[in-house]
Parts: sequence; C-alpha cells; structure tokens
Amino acid sequence: MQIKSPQFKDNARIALADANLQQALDNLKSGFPGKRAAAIGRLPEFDQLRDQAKNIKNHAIENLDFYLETFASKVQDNGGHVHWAGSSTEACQTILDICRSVGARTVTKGKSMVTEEIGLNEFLQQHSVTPIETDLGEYILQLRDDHPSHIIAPAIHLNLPDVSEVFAEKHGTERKHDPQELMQEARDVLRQHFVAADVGITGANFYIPETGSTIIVTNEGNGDLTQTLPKVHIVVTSIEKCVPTLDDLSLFMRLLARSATGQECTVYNTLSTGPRQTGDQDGPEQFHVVLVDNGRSDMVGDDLQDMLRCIRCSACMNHCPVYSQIGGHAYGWVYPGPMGSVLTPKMIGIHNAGHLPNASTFCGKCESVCPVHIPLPKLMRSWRETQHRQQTSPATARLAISGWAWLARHPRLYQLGSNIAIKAMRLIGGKRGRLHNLPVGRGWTLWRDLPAPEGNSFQQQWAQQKHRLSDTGGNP
Amino acid sequence: MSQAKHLILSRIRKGLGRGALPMEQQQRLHARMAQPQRNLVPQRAQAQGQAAIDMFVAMATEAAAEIINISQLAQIPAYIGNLIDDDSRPLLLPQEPELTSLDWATANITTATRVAQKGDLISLTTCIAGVAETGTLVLKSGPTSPTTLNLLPDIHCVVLRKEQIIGGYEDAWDLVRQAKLPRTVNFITGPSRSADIEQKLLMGAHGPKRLVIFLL
Repeated sequence: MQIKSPQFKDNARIALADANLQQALDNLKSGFPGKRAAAIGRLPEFDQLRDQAKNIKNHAIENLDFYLETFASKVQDNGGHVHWAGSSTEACQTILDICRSVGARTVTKGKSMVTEEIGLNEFLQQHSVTPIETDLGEYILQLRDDHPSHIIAPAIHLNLPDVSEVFAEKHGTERKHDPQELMQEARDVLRQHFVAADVGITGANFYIPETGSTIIVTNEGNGDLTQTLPKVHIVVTSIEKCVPTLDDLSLFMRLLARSATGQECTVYNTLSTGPRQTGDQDGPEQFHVVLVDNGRSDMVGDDLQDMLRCIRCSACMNHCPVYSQIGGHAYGWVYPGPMGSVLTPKMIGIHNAGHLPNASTFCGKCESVCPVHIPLPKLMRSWRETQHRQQTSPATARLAISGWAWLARHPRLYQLGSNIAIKAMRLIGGKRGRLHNLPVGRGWTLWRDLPAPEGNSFQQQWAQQKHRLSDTGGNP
Repeated sequence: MSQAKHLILSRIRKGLGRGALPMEQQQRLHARMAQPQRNLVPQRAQAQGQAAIDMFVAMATEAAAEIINISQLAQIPAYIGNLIDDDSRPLLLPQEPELTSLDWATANITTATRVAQKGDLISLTTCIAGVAETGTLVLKSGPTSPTTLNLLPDIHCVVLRKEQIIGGYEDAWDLVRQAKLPRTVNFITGPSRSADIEQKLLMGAHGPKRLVIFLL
C-alpha cells in the first residue's frame, strides 16, 4: 500500500472538509463507544479481566521464543505446516509459493490486517493469482480499489450511495438502494467464489501454543467459509498474537468483542487445528501457518514492547477525538488511530510517519479503554522524544521546548516571566477576558479565542496557601 | 532451522537479554500448558442448572437465535416442515442415527446426509454444548459432523439438550479437551450478520440467515 503518512496534515485538512466522510464518521461516533460502555456495564469483572489479560500477554511476550517454537511443533504434530517470514516480502513470497504448489488461480480471503500490512493482494495480483476479499466491507473496498480506514470496520468511511454505485458498476446489476438487497447481492456473488477458490487465506486473532490452534472471530461467517471450503487453508498471523492456552483464550474472548463492537460475543469464533482429519468429509486438506515478524521482534525489549500486547480491537480509535474527526485514511497507512500512531512509525519509519505520534491531544481516552492497558500516550510521547533527539521535529518546536527547559531550570526568571505574561495577557484580553490573536499561537487563535488567565499562577497560589497555613498553625 | 526462524528467535532473545530459556523454565511452561489453570471466571459464567438454562435462552435470544422448546426429538420434523414451507430442497443431516431415524417422510421432508453445498436451504445438526454466559453453541467437526452444515445453508437448526448447557467458555474447553482436538471447533452465537454498510446491523451476511435451536 502506498505510504501517504508524510502528507498527514494535508490529508487531515481534506478529511475535515469532506462532507461525505464527516457524515460517515458520525456513524462511528454514535455507535461503538456507547455499545462498548453498555456491554462492559453488564460484566462487572471487566477490569479484573483486563488486568489478567495484560499479565498473560506480558508473560507470552517474555517467553515468546519458547511459545513460538512450541506452537510450531504442535502445528506440525497436527499435520500442518509452519513458515517463518522475517519481512513482508518473505511472507508474500511464501504465500505465493504455497498457492503455486497447488496451481491456485483464485484465493478467497477472510479479513486480515496483517495481509494489508504485507501488501499481499497487490503481490498476488502481480503474480497472476486473484485474491478475493470476502468480508463485506473489504469486498466493497476491493471493488473500489480502496483500502480499509478502520481495522474492524474497514468501509466506515463510505455511505450507502457509494456501495450502490460500485455494486451496480462492477456487478453489472440494477442500482439498489436497500442495504439488505445489496448485502444479498454480495452474498450471491461471493458464494460462487467461496466454492470455486483453490486456497483460502485468513488471519488469526490469536494462536494457541497449547494445542497448535489458530482462532478467527467474525460476524459474517466469511472467514469461516474461507477456511472450510478450499483445499488449502493458509493462516497469516504475526508473531505476537500468542495466547498460551485455551483457558487464557477465554479471557480474550470476553474482552475482544466487548471492546470492539460492544457485542457480548462475536457470532463466529472458529478454532482451527491442522487439516481435515481421517474420516472428515469437509475441511481443507492442507493447513499452513505463516508467522510474520516484520519488525515486531525488534520491539521486544525496547520502548514499544507494550504495543505487542495489542489485540486489534479498535477501541482506541473508536474513542479517539482525532480519529473520529479525520477518519483512518488521513493517517496514510494500514493502521490508523492511536495504535497506528505507535505502530506505523516502527513499520514504515519515523521519517515517513513523524506526524502521527504528534496528532494526539494526549487526552488519554485510548489508554483508558484499551483492554490490555497499553500506555498509548506514553508510547506516542516516546516517538516525540525520538524525533527531538534525532532533530526531526520542527525546528521551532525544538527551540521552544529548549527555551522552556532552560527557563524551568531558572525558577526566579520563570516566575518573573510568567507573572509578566499573565498580566500582559489579562491586559490584552480586556473585559471579555479572551485573546483573539497571538503572534506565537496562531495555530490556536486562527480557529478559536484563547481565554486569558483569570487568577494567579499556580506557584503564587501555592505560596499564598503555605503562608496561610503557617498563620493558622497548619490547619487549612 | 530456516534462516528466517533463526533470525526471528535471535532477535527476540536479544531483546529479552537472554539466550534460549533454561530447561527448568521450559518445563514450567510446558506444565502450565499441560495442566491449564482457569483465569478469573466471571460470576455470570459460573451459572448452573436452571439459572444456566435461563441465561442461555436469554442470551441466545438477544443474539437473534430462535429457540423452540421441545420435549422429544420426534417433534422436530413438524417444526422443520413449517420452516421449509413448500421448498423442495432437502434437509441436510449429519450421519447421526438419532436424527436420521426421525420420521421425516410423514412431514413430507426429503433429507440428505452429505456435506453442504452452494444453494442448500437448511441443515439440522447436534452440538456438544451451549454456553450460558453468551448464548453460544459449541460444535465440533468430525466424520459425522461436517463443518459446512453449520455455515453454508440459509437456515441452521441445532438440537441442544438442557443437560448440555454449561456456564462459561472454560467448561467448553474441558469438553473439547476430552478427545483429540478436531479440525474445527465452532462457537456460534446467533445468525450471521454485518454492519459494514453505514454501521447498520443487517442479518444474514455469509453464514446462515437464521439459527434455530431446538431445546430438549
């Protein structure tokens, strides 16, 4: 996928002015957060489950080498094949080789962000294998030659007329305006593909070393058909998606759907263990797992290790004031929102994705809703520190921060300066107490007034209170 | 060992600041997997007896599954006759005598015991459990229970006995672990759906449009 993250500021400006996008994003705002809150309200133990899930994920990462090898040998014991891929290119090539080994011409695909990340569709197409997305949202996007703007609701940036239009054009059918009819049309078209495909490719929400199983969760049943009907099932998953046992999986089943769509449980949770067994009348004859690294092993032991706990629920972006204003495409690559702002710089380079960790108010909502307690603001801040160290942040910002840091180390000057600034701002603010124009803060005052300070500075108030306390002998 | 595998494991170990795990730690982790411990099981998932049955019915209904109470299997053909109406397509059955031996002829229903195909209307299967906490059915693949029966037909009917209703997912794993793991374990909660068009919930995306549970 083409990297558009360097143009983040322009992307965001365009997104804010796009009436269709803004209408579509209203569906997100009025949907997921409220549903999540309601679902969690019905499970009093939710916070304790989060704590345990965090610990289990940490445990899995601290022993990741062991669990990967154990999982791989279990898959082989079950009659499956494991392939290790260090990079996107290795992963794509491995998958292509498997497709070629069975002479595959078309492959059906369940929804998988890892395959977006490695650019699998483009790669297969270039090598004469046709991938067909089967998740309704992903299918709509594929017809439009578009990409997901959200990790679980890929077509959230579109409205009904967009779907009507592309179906009529690509299917050669009469234009339909009823969503139910559109879905039936997709069902009919994709059913042909489900049964005709030579290979089915799915992601995995988790892999289980205890049993050598992988699990996918879907509401549509598309991933489940994708992995049941073709002769070959390829699971493409990334190395961190480890949940050691089925009992540990229970925790994540209780957290994932509630955090994501606010459902009590996703409609289909399907556990796959090896290929079809003796006597089975259906199911794939071959089962392959491609373990994708693509930069993740470098995150072990560094500042970003916490990010390896991520279960891709999307709660962080669903609650993000920035995402909900600009949508996912503005972020310019596969993973949007707060989790993307942490992950994308690692995957495409901070020189490409430098704007993303800065596109946050640090309101902290993302961290507060994360089912595995990833400190997303802290991780974004760590990218900002990297930029400061590498001198890749804007020179004015660096100068301002350095100036502030110097002042902060000279308390008397700092106090003097802030007292003068407070008085000056009050003076300029006048009776209305608001500033219309600040020469050094036009990014703010172009759009809204800045309130002038009302009282004394914190330090002055602190000193006054101390003074009062000493007068009253310490009683407030 | 493949080059990629070697590099991935080396990078992980370097990040963790150690070599391969010491033997005793590996044994501890193997033991953790061999005797898996439950994590916190929510109160709701600990329900038993009638409370569990009531919860299953409430949660499955909320997930848009249709529940039909029956007192014996022999009642099923008449109900399925109503579901099929006058559609001539066969009812798909697994090769399980308790279902194939029912009196389908009297209800004027043709049956077939095969895997499901494109265009099939309806199937009837058994399951291994119903999980009360979310109204979820648990189904295993096997020689007499093809997975396609659960996914391809427009209507999926499932027989669930009240004594099969368990509290939480943990109880389901205990059942699954009693034998060699099958190729597929399906946890199914209601019929297929999608909200990919304008976030409005539509029923019947790719899997069955209706999920009918005969509660025995």
